Amino acid sequence: METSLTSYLTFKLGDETFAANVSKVIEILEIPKITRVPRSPDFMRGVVNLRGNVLSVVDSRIKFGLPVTEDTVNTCIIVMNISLEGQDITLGLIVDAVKEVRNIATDSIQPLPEIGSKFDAKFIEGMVKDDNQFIMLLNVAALFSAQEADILSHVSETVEQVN
Amino acid sequence: MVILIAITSAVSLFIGLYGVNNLKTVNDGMTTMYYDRVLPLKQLKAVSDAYAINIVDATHKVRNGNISWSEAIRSYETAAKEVEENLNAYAASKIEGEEVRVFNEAKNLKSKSDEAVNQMLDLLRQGQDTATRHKLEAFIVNEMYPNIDPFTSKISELIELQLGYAKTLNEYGDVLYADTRVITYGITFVGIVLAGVVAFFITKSIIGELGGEPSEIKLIAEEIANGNLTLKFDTQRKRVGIYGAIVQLSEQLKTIIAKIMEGAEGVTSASLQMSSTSQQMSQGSQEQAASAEEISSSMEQMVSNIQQNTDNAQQTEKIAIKAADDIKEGNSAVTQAVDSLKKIAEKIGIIGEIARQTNLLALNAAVEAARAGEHGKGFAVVAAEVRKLAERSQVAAEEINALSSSSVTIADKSGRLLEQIVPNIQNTAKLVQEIAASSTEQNSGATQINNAIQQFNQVIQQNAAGAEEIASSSEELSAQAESLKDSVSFFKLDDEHEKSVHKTKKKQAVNRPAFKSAAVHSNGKKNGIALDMGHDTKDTDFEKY
Repeated sequence: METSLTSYLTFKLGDETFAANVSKVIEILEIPKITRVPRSPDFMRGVVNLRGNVLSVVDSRIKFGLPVTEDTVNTCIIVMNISLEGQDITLGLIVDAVKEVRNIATDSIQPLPEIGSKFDAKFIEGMVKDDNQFIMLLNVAALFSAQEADILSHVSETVEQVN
Repeated sequence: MVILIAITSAVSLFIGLYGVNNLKTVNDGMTTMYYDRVLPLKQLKAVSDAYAINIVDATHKVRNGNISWSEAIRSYETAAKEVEENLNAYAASKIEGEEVRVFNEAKNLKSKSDEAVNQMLDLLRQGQDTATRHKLEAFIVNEMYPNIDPFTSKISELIELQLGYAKTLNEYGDVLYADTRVITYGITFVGIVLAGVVAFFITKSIIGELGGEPSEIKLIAEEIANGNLTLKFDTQRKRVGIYGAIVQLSEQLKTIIAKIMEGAEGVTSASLQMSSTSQQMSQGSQEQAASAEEISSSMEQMVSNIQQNTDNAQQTEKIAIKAADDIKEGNSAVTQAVDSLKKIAEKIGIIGEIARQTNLLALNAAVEAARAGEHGKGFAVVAAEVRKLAERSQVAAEEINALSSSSVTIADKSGRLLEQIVPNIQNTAKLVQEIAASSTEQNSGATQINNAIQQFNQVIQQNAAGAEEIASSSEELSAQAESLKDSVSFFKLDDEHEKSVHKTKKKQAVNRPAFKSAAVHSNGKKNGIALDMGHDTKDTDFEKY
């Protein structure tokens, strides 16, 4: 089998390092002013203005079931483009810190152990050993249910219409 | 005895008074004899003579023609005058008894006589003629003589009376003499007897008082007067009166002289001892004076040391004040440094922010490059390098930040320490100031001590002079004692008393060299007198270290 390299953007969430496929990443932002949207789900922090477009921002800590902490200077928003239920949604994912873009060989990706994982296995594609720790490869699309995807897209659209 | 003497005296007094009284009586009689008898006799005789010579004789001469009539007249007048004067004087004298009667008769007869004389005078004045002469002769024979004679005979009677009185007085004097002689002889005899008795008793009493023969007592007294006290007295004999007293005097004198000699010896030795002691004292005082001088010079040294201390303390104070000021300056410099460091930290924060943003940009570039796939590979490498640089810048900025913040902490700490040091140094300056003040006080105290020592020294020297004076005085005293001994040696004592005096002499002779040697010993020493403090139990309370 031919070894192929895929570029991943690694970022920190708590103590763990995650990686997202670069093809899904549009850009990385510093935390701007976030506008809260009423009656939105808990994991949704609000919306931000991204060069005139409305971007829904999701707090990945809540989504990942980690305790909520204050933002630091390293806290960033990773703007991603995901396809959910056949529609492309652009959303921002708040992470503790962005690390680097690195290439990961596909054969080095290992499956997630069935038992003992503290994260929901459905949005972890696999794990890569890096030095003395593991990088978990994140399936961003699997983070959200169809209903949540609706809300996200709807929010963006609604805000867009208002604007 | 007293009664006897009184009686004897009374007898003598009686004899004297009796004799004087009788003499007075005799004297009174003599006075009466003279004034009342002899003078009247003279006056009566003058009267009688005046009649006999100036009248009767003149009358005869006139009859015979022996004198002129005028001479007769003068004679008559003289007689009349004389008779008148003497009779008046007689009348003034004491006239008594028979005499009064006779005198009165004489006065009666005198008037007739005077008349006859006056008639005679009248006849005489008529002139010297024959008729008158006849008449005169007739008158003289017939008138004059019969008239004059009774008067003159009365005068003669008065004279006789006077003589009789005088004789009576004389006889009375004889009787008085005889009585007085008898009485005086008798009483004088009684007085002699009494005086004999008195003399006997007085002599007996005096002998009793003397207690011995006066010659013996005189001999003893002369021996004592010549200083011979070696007389032996009969111990069996009763010592009474002046003899007893003189014997006692001799014995007491012996004892007293012996004691005086002993005392003089004692004074001599004591004065010698005193002399040596006072010389010792004088020397001690001189040594004290030397010590005081040493103390004084030490004190002066101390004073200069204290002065130096004062100067040093003042210098130190100045230095401390300057140090405090410098430290304040240093502290402000540290504050400035802290400010600068804070500013640096701020700037570094900016750099860190820039680095972080650069990192972010690089990441974005890397994302872009990765999305570009094969075409973006070169760019991806650059972006990765830029990101690495940015990351390093960020790390360096963080390190600088940490360093500057630790520097700030250190600077703060040093600033605080310096701030703490300032009051300490100020305290030090104050303390040093106090030290300087104390040193000044010490200086004045030391000066006072020095003055006191000088006074002390003067007193010591006065003491030394006084001791020397005492030494000379005691030598004088010794000489006086020797002179006293010489004076007393006039008395010769018996062996027993002499022995006792010699005994004390020997005792003192033994003692005297000891004082001298002690004096020499102390003279030989140079550094004061060694004091033997003894070993009393108090010393054992102290421990030696």
